[in-house]
Amino acid sequence: MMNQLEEDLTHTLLDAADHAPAPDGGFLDGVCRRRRARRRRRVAGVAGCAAVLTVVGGVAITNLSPGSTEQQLPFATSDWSGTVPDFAAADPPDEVWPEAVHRLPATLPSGSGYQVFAVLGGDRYLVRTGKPSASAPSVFNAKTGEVVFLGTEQMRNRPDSSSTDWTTAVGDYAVWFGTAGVDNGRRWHAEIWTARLDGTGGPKKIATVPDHGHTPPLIGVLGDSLYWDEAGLLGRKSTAIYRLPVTGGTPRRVPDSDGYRLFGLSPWADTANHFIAQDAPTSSTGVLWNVETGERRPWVAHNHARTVTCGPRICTGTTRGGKYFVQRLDGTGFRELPYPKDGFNATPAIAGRFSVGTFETSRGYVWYIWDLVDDKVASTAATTNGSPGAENGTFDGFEGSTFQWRADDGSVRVLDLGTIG
Amino acid sequence: MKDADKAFEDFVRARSAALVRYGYVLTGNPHDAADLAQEALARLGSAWSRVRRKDDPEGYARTTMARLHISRWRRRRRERLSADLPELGYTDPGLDRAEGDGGLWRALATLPRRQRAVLVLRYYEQYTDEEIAALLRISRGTVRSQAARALDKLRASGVPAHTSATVGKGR
Repeated sequence: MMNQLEEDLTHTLLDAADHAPAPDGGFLDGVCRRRRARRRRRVAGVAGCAAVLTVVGGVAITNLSPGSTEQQLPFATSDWSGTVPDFAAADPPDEVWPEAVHRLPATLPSGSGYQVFAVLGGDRYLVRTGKPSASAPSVFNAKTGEVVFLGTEQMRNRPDSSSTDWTTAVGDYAVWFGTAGVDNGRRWHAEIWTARLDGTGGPKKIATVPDHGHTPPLIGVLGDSLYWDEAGLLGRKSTAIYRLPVTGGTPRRVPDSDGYRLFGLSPWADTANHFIAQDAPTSSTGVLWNVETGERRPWVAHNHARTVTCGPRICTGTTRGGKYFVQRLDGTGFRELPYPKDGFNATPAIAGRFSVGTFETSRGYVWYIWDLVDDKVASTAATTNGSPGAENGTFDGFEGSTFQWRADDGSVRVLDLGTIG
Repeated sequence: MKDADKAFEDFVRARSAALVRYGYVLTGNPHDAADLAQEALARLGSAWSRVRRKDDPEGYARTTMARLHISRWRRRRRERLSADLPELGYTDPGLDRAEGDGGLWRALATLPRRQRAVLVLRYYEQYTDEEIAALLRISRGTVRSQAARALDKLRASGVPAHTSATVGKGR
């Protein structure tokens, strides 16, 4: 147990570190000069730091710029304020973002339940139906009640191999993938399917990713193209990211993508693996790569981190003490949350603008939706069965773009995160 | 450029900010922080191939920083005999924010370097006393006594300590 002085001391040191002046662009040059000076003293001739640097004698103190900003570092400027709202005191989503909430009937006209994957506009929604789910999505027109199934009849009856766990709309197309067993289920391929949203033309398989195991790869969207890596969720090292137009064709290897993995937040990839065993130590550094623009955002874990994963705005993880925390990509802004690591989770959504997950209360699990840019948060009522699940909400859609829950009258509410301004 | 050199430079780019932050809490002075971090990194660069094989270059750099900091303290104590001014009067933009602690940050600057290093390793790095002892190459008892003296000095300096004295953390 720490006493008050020790706790104050810990916070003082952490705060001081957070506000320490940042090294400027000459820092590396200074290190290189010192290496050369050491080498000269040792009369050793191993090549050192970049040969393009001018050799300057002596041991220079690099220029520090007190108050310098993060723009001078290779770290991206964070638009997170550094504050963590009180999730438990938040209002429900339809009060926080009423303009982004859609009110829909409790069931389809057939009486079937449904899960909204994407809001298409014009009262149309890309949905999953059936129990178990059909292996292709449907388009539901909430105004007319019309439901257009986009797959084949065989898919409607859900053959053993496919699912609609990943579905989205790209331009005029719905895209989904499934897994297909071959060799009597000894190997599994991932299949990517598309269909026009108006239901014309029928479904089309545009790619097969061979030998991907039972878990399909993560798929991202870049404009009108899809992309995926070779590592997927299997823990394999990524050797490349591939790109394919939604209209089909030949997958193309994305240049310079070696070593990067998708982690479910388009258009970003990371050098670190986000999908490893729970509690296994993670990388302490990594580089996020925007596959679309080429921007790279390095990140570093705070000293207290045991596990960490980063999106383009914040990193989250668990401390050595078993608490959940958030931090900026440069390690500053470290904040422990008042939840044990097993009682909290966070998933980034919409290019990292949102963090969505559940936390545990004495009344059960509660969903929260946290807008990091506008410092807003919404949360749902607690579950009564003590476990997170569909009872008080589901977080779905492409890379977590929709949050769906039931109102008190049983009707469906859908929060379309992508339309929050 | 050789792969090893590129890897080292990538490491410096990725970790320099964190190491300077660590140097800042160790020294309390941004220029000394950068000086310390650069010197530790230069030494790391000289040992890069060996350290990298052990897969903990950051640990090497941090350990070097802590040891360098204390050895400098020893050296500067001698230097002060020739009128080298202490650095207690230094202020920087980060200090104002840290002063929200009721003067604790400023009180830390009055501690001898080894005492301060022990506190930083214990409360910032969250090392156990055994780890601190190994890192600084001193006994665990010395770690505890240094920490106790440092905490006593902080209390005596008038910072708003709210509870009774504690020696060590029972780790």
